[in-house]
This record gives sequence, C-alpha cells and structure tokens, in this order.
Amino acid sequence: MTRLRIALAKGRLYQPSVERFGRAGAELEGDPGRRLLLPSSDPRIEFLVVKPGDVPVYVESGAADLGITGTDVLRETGADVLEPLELGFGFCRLVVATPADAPYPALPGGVTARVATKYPRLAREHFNAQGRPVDIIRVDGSVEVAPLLNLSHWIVDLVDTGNTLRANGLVERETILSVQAVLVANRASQKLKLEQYLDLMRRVTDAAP
Amino acid sequence: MTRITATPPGALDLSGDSVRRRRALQRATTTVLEQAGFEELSPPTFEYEEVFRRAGGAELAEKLIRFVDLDGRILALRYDFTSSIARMAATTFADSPRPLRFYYSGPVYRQEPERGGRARETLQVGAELLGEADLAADVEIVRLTLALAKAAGVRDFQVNLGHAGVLADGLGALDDTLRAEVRRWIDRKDRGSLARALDGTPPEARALLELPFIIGRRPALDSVLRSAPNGARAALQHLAALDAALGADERPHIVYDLGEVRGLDYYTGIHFELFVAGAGRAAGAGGRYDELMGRFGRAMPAVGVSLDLDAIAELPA
Repeated sequence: MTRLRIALAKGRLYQPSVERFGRAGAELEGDPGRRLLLPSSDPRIEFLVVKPGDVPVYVESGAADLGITGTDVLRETGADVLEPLELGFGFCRLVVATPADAPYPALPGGVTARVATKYPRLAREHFNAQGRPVDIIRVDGSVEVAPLLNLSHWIVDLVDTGNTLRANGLVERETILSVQAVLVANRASQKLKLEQYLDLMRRVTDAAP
Repeated sequence: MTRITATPPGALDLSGDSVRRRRALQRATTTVLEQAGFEELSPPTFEYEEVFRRAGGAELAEKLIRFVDLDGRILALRYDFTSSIARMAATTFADSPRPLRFYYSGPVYRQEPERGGRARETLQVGAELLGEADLAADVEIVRLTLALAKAAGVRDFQVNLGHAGVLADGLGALDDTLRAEVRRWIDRKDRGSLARALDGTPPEARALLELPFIIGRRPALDSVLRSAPNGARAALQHLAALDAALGADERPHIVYDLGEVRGLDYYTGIHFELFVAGAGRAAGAGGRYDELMGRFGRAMPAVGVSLDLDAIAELPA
C-alpha cells in the first residue's frame, strides 16, 4: 500500500492545518515534539512536521507528496510544485513598511535605500519590477527593529493585524503579496499516486469550514 | 599544504557505483536504440548560443551556460541534443532519404540559480525521428520510450501522454494576458482560480474548465470525446488511435493526461513525460515538434524523446 506523506509547517499554520486534515478524516496521532514522522487515523496518510520554510523543499523534491505552506514561503523559494487548492486560512500580507517619518518611495539626495527582510527574493523582484534599485539585507528575525537600529531604512515583512508594526513606529507603504495557506503537491507524485491524490483533494475541499 | 580546489555549484564528482550505474544505463538504452534502427550522432559539446535559442525560444537564454569565443561570439554548452541534431539534419543530412532516425547519449548543461546547488550537468539519452508526420511515427516513439524505460530496469513507470491540440482552441480564444494567467492556473492544477479567471470568457474557452483535469486510462479519453469542441476532438481522436495501436503489455504504462501546459509553445502534437516510482521529477519527456526543423531552414515533421539517466541512476534501491 502506497502512503501519502504530507508536510506540515510548524508555527502559525500548524493548528489550522491539523484541524483541516482532522475534519478530512486524517487525525494526526502522536506528539510532533518528539518525532518527525507521525501517523494519522487514516493508515494511507502520514505527516511530516518541519520548519515553515522547508515545506516547499520537501514537496518539490518528492520527500513529501503534499504539504501545506503559505504563499509567502512558496513564492520566496520559487519551488516548482502543484498548487491545487487555496485553503482559506493563514491570511496575511507581505508589505513594505517604513518608520512613519521616513521618506518614501525615495530617499533624498539619491541615497540607495537599505531594505531588511526575511524575503530577499520577493523584495528584490518587487523593487526591480518598479525600476527602483535598493540594497536588500537578509535577516532571519525581528525585522521590525531594523530601522530603529539603523540596519535599514525600510523593511519588507509579513503583516497580520499590523500591531507589531505600530508598536515599532512603522507604517505600511505598499502590499507586495496577499498571503494565505495553500495545499501544494509534488508534480511526479500527483501522476504516480493519482487516485490517492484525487481522493485527498476531495476530502480536504469538502472539509472546508 | 596544498589548498583544496573547490568545484563550482552544481558540478558533480561521480565515482564508484554512481559511475557504474550510469554506464550500465547508457549501454542498455543505446542497445535498444541501435536495435530499433537509430543511428548515433555526436554533436559538439558547445555551439553558438543562437542554435539553442532558435530551437527553444528567447526565454531559453537564461538557462544556457554561455561563454565568449575568441572572436567575441557567444557560445553555449549543449543545452539539449535536439537543437544540434536539428541543425545537423538541416545541413549534413539535408539530402538524405527520409525518415531519419537518430539517437544520442551524453551530458547536457543547464543553468540553475546561483548557489541553488542543483546539478547543472545531466546525463541524457534520446532519439529523434525526422521526416515522418503520421500516427505511426508517434506510436514508434511512444513504444520506444516504454522499451527504453524497461531496458533501464525501471519496474514501476508510466508515461503521461497529452496532445497540444486539446487545449489549443480554448487558449487561442483568450487575449495574451488572460492566456498567460489561465496557463498558470492549469499548470498549478488550481481549479478554483481557473474558474474565476474563465468567468465571462467566450464559450470556446469554457472547455478549459474540464479538459485539463482529464487524466486516466482510455475510458477517460472516451468520456470527453463526444462533448469536446471540434479542435480538441481531432486531438483526442489521435490519442485514441495511438492507444489502439499499442500492445496489451504497453497500454498499462500509459496514462492520458490533458492538463500539461508546459512546452505548449514547442510541441505541435503529442507530448509526454515519463514518471518513475521513487523519483520526484519526470525521468524523461518527448513529443512532436513539427515546427522545429523549419527554424533551421529545412521544414520537416519531427518527433522525439529524451531520458534523464541521472534521475534513473539515483532511484532509491
């Protein structure tokens, strides 16, 4: 019996993903803190719990057949995967934000803006498409403090409610991408395990709240 | 102490079983090709880059590994064999009797994103059948693909087979911007976004809601034959005729798959990919590209296949 291995991202998408699969008849079983691979109540489905940025990599390579990831991570990695279903949770947006008093969209005196972000590829594409050269600085966390510390002039980061931005004196200037959770699938696996794939697609679609 | 010399990203040092497996695959597959009456060609490892762009289009440029010749002209490492063989067929073999049956075996070189680390050299084997437009040539190449997969020792494999004519009318009814968007949704198999994009489009385009999701054995083909628009029906009938020409031992390896939109600018008839259990990407691809030879000044129909021997050699035991 061939199994479908599904990659789930730790973090903000984890709980709603587990709930969605639970309603689709695949309850996660076991403690993700202890093991990487976890069985489910459906013997044909097992879960793999990884860091959010790794889901597209696992699915593109075929180490996982399917996965749930945010479109932010997916576009940033540029992974070549199928993207059959928007899941309707994990909504947020990728924005350009600056200190409230910072000049935008250009700095005076022809100074090249430094932009701190966890999304160097999407940030570069955004500014390139507008013909605005910037200096991208890749950081792994606490992006919103970068302008306060003079690491950068502006930032590109995910925003949900906007509270974190406001608390750091930042304002949104432009939206780069509307983000939500999507189901992704390995291209070869969709062909080779077609019946299981179609069955799972039906169940996950029907399990929408 | 001598400093260790690094290798560039995507360059592989192979040794031991990795080499032995690849050599064995080359021997097994080229034996099949020789027995099938194909003649080996050995085109140069580098060409003027224009040869590859002429065959594959301008977008190909960024996938080429390029360098500058002594006289300033741009060269490129072999992106594929088909381009060079088309060039040779239009020159060296211009006056040879047709059809022409050629095969090749060797590495191709493709640019990958910097620091992506993916291999930039891949071992291929493949065949070209030039100057034959009829169904029999399509059947010959599909059967050859199955024979090559068997010779490679792959147990669990399938060929997903489609036809460029199935979606051509529907896509042709859309303006350029919408067509690009619709192709993207079809490529991602995102039915919801596709339905939203097709809302309010001409009736010919409505077939795009259903046809790309047809995937299965012969009954899947038959299920849409009657309801399909005229242009698509001719393509579906071609696939049905191909199915009828295959043997009972071959048919179980064929899946009709009408949703593949990659390469639609290149393929003019059947197109297919070979999938092998255990490999996360296609292990081979092929189809009919009747416009290719014309780009080299010698129009003639062409159909071919290439296999990615690295993908097969790296299969888990």
